[in-house]
Amino acid sequence: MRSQTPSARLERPVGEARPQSLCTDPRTRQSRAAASTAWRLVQTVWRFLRQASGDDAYERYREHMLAAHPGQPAMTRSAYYRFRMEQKWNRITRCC
Amino acid sequence: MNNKVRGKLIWLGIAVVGAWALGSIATHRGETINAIWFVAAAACVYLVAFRFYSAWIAAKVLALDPTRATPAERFNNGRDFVPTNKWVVFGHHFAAIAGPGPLIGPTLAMQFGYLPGTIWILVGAVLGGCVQDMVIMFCSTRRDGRSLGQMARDELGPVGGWAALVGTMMIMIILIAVLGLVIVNAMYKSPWATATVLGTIPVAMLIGIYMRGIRPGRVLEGSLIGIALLIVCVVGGGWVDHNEAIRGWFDWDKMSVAWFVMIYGFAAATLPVWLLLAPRDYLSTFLKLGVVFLLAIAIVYIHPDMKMPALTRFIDGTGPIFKGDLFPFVFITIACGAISGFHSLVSSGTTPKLLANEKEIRMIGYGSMALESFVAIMAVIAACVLEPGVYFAINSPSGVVGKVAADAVAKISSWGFPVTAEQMNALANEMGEKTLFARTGGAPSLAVGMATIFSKTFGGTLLAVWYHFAIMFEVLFILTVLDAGTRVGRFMLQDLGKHAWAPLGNVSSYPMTVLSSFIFVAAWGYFLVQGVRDPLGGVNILWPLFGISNQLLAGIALSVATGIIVKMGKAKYAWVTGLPLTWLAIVCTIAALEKVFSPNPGVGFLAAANDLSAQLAAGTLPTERIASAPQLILGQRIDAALALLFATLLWVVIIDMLRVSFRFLRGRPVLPLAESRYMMTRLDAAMASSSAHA
Repeated sequence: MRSQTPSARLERPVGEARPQSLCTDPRTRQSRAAASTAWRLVQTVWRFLRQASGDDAYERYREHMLAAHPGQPAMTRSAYYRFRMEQKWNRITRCC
Repeated sequence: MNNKVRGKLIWLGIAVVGAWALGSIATHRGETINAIWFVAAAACVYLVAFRFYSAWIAAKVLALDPTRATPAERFNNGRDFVPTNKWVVFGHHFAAIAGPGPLIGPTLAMQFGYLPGTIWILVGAVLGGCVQDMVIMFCSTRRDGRSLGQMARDELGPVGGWAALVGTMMIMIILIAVLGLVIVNAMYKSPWATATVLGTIPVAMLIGIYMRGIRPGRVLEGSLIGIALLIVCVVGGGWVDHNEAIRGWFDWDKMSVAWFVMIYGFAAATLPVWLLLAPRDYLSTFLKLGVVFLLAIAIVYIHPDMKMPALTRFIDGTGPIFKGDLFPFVFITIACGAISGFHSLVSSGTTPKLLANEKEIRMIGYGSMALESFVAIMAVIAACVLEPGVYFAINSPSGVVGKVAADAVAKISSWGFPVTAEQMNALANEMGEKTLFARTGGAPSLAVGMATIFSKTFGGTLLAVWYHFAIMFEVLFILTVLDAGTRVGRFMLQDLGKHAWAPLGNVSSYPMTVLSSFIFVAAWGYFLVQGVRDPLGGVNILWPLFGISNQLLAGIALSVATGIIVKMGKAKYAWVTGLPLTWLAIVCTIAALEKVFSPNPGVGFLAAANDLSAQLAAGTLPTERIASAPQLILGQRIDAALALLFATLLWVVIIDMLRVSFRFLRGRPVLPLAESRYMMTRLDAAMASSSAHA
């Protein structure tokens, strides 16, 4: 059986709300195909930005915990952030 | 016409355009040459090399296997091992490898003219740097994401492992010292720059508190607010500069800035990372990517003329910025941008833990380095759009051209690069500075070049604001290396030091954290202070030492890579890494020997030390220099010892690699290939293709 790892995709993780700030009027979107294509592009870029910057790292971590270790307690958002920062800066992550 | 033929024609076209642009650059002998030639030549060279050379390496030498599960898939823990979209990994990897090196090195090397540096950046990257990054990333991915030091130990043996460890630690010390010196030269006696940079620290802490406590983990929001505040800092710095009552508080001399840099490094290494280091890195990463992108667009948009000649008279080794002949010093001065050993530390250990599929190594390893090399080409352009006389006036230390403006312009004009004191005054005035003479280190001249390009693009106004924005961008860039490097250096010191004194290795003990941070800051602080005291500006000493240490690390990485290729049974392809290794071994050894033994006190450390002690003994030294002379003499001798140590370490690893390779080829027992066992990927093929088209 083949499993899917959603975090490897630029997809909105399950249960994550659509970013409200970028919503335009829904009628405009439905009425024009071009607008909807543009909107999809904006969404892809937004998801890319969130994933690349680590903005959605906690959602992805929660998703991973639910899928791989159901029943195990997950870290809180704040604890996860601190843990990730400590971990990231304990090795060489920046070059000259 | 079918697609195959069309594809071939397009690539033929790119190759022809690239060859034409390169030919134009190499044979052009007019007054000026347009920067667009450089952009075209570079882009075509990278595209052709990526399309053909990297594809060949991927298929024949490394035999990348898309069916093989990566460490990210096998150890997926939702934290550091996570299969990640390839464009996201590309962004992470590029942000990690792109530092201030490719901006500063090429700027300094322009004293030879644009041609030698440009050719080395292009050739060095496609045949050396990109190959190193790609092959090391492959080796680490096949070894569960191990670090370079671990791979050296596993594949070559304990000698190679130790050399890699010591080499890494030494390069960090020299790197941080020289970058600290660049900051000093950009900030001293510049209240605007100092106030702006100081302002960024509370901004970073504010954002740190925001991301940790107020809106945990909301990185994008926090960064956007932070970037807005950074711009306020730049403008606020201008206000401070114009306010006679306050500006004196920020009017620091070189030693004060050096102390600031050391205190900052110590604080960033000992405070919790979420408070200062991590948020500041978010800000500088966004700024870095944004500015690099904007600069590329601006250069293409205004396609400025480059005023620097193809070759200057300084190829004979008498250059004012640093002494030494074209060979080998252009190859030492430009390390990052052509081939940078430091990249092998990110390509092993960090990035391999994110790769979803092995075949992405080609784009992420080879492609990111090609892009970084393009950043170096932009630095070449930014340095060469300045009038050569202005470039030399900014970058030449006062110990070479004289402290008085009239003397400096007379001397620089006598070299055939006309410049006047009025011209320099007008430029300093436009940039919002009192003087731009002898601001060595490359950052200020780069900032003048960038400010000129940006200001032209946006209607020719606000030069002073653009200049200080560029300075802030460069300083933030450098602080990233400085604080992250000090922190990692502290861990390395604790790891090495525990063999001498066990309690030092306790990373969870706060007193040990403070003690080891203090020792590490003192180590790079020593070289920084030495550079600040040096009458020739210090860059002359520290930058070549940094170049040699970086190339040493590249030599270690390429040795490990060559050894692995031979042990994979692909000895006939060993030249792929063996060729750049041979070149680096030649360049590094000759440069190190010249830096130690050259009888010219401008080049040789020992000659400089002897010259100074002879002057001290004869009493011919000016009184203000007598007090610091003994320390400078000792410093030069330590530099000589370091250069020799670097060359020795390099040869120890090369000989170790050759020993292992020849034993293997003769069928004698060697350490087995430490590659992890093959496991079929279980990630959906649809995912692989979706990430390819994402």
